[in-house]
Amino acid sequence: MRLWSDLLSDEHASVRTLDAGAFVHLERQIPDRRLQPRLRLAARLDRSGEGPVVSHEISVGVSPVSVVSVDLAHRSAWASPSPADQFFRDGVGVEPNPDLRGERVPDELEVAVAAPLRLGSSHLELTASAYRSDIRDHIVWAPDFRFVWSPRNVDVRRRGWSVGGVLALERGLRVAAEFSDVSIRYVGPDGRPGSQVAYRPRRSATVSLAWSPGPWSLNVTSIHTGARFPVPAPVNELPGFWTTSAAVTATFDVRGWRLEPLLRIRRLMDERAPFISSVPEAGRTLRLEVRIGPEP
Amino acid sequence: MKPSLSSQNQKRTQTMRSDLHFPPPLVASMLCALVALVGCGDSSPAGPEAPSGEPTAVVVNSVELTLTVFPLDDPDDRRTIALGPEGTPVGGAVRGAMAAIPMGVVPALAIVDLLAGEVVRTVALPEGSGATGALFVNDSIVLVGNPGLDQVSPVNAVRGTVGEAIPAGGYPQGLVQASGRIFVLNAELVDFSPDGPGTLTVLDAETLAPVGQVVLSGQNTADAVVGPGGSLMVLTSGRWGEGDGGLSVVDPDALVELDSHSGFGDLPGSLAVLSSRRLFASSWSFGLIEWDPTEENFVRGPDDAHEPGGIPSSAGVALDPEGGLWSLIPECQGPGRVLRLNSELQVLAEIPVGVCPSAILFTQL
Repeated sequence: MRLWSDLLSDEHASVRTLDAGAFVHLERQIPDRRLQPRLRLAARLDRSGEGPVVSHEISVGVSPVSVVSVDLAHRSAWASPSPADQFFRDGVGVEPNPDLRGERVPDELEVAVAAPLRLGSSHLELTASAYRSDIRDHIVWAPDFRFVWSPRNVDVRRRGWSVGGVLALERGLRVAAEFSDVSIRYVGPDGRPGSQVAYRPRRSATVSLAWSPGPWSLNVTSIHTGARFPVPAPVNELPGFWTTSAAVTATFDVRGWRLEPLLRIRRLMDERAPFISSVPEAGRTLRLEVRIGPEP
Repeated sequence: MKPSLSSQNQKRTQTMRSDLHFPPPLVASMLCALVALVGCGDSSPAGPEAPSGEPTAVVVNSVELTLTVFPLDDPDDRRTIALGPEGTPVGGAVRGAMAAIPMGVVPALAIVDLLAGEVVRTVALPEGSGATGALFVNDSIVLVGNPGLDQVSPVNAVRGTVGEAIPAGGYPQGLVQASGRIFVLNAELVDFSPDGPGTLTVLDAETLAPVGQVVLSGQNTADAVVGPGGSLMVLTSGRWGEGDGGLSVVDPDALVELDSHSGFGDLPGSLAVLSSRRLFASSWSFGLIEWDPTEENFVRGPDDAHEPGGIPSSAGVALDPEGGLWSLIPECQGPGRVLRLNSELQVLAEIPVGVCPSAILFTQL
């Protein structure tokens, strides 16, 4: 039997690629009891198909009062395309794209505020952040005129903000909630932002409850996926939906061995709402894992 | 026969496909026969009434799953009508204020009220049938191609019901009416590749009964228009990347292929007849080629095709009721455009539409 594929021949396959990077990080707490300033510097060098790429992070933070910290960061980032997106995705109506370029965030600005509070024997941490983080050559899956889906690079304008809180109560009980609003829009040929990227919900939220009495641990999380457009235009909107998942884990030590069973239930209420319009969801699914290893 | 769907439009209406160039059929009265023949029930000695209403274009945006609707005289007055979150529509049919849009891989027909600007019903078709190609046979009945089942389905667009399927050839993907007959364009595709010559299944326009079949010389039947002298000009796209598109000339009465011509390049997709000497075919690969049906030679072949707007590619070509030529710009990553051209193929207007325009239809609203 003779096998042949043009993907494996030198004239069709991409030349070997090597993605490598180096990273350095410095962090300094500057002594000042009044403001408690912090400085963080990071740099990264990546080797990409387009040449060397340098990414950085500069962040400064202060705590003007003991229960509030404010951080301001300026960053850049780069991520290479996955080999799966370039060469190995397969399926009906799906095609990889060997010409994909890496994603680049040239100029990100973020401000974040955190406020840890103590409420009796409980701890509450409130957080809020806002950012501007446009992406060049963002990888987005989209159909072409043959309705074949493949990943492609697009420039997008991204702005977002989020608020959240975590309340840690007694007896290992923890409640968390977060809401985010992210505008990620195509950039048109004229440089102006267009519609929200297909299948990127503008708004999302998460509410979770965790409880860890003794060796057991229970986690229930509800996630809201907001309304989204299935096309690169503000039409044919798909409604938002909630899904709830639960996980129960435990840790037992028996005769020198540690047993860690995990039961995970996805779509606990048998929710059927699909994220992608034409891809149905299976509803409630259960997964049981048991990890066995020597007792540490 | 029932009058036009929209209660806002009680006037006589006319229907147009983008590539229909014979005199359009007119709806006359509720007592007309199944086929909308000119003059049925019309006692005017001067002949049938001229169609009224504002000439309007309806663009099918395939990737965006919308229609863009605008008056020909005021293209800035554009409206977008969403068809739904899934499907692969590439064409459709219009009749007055009603549009019937087959949804491609989703076996359904979207019925759109163009005046109200919304889908009024989505008619489910047989499972696995697919939906490509549509033709109004009267005010309420639409024939829809089912490429997945090698048949066409008659759909009552007013009631939302589907009648008994009519057998067709392999992979029907279009329908055209000529000479009192309906021609189903069968691409004869298996796994999206031609598996033999293209064919036409011929139905009686009154009874929808099969009356014959025509086997063509080319492969992958894509489009057809009534040409000079009433003959049917049938475009065959050929095979992907082989450049073997062709044109067949069919006698719609004798149901025979009179002649065939090759050299129409790579995957030509649509036809428009501007005059007895000027036939245009579009392709993503080269733009618009021009063929002289009388001399039977290329005025502009694939190697020196017209490039409307400077773009060597066209997603479709069509002729409007006023004789204007239109070309669709194949932009599928962002908002598309359609070009209105003069007889010299110069751009008169460039109208923004949705993502990936694939067809332009004309009606009166």
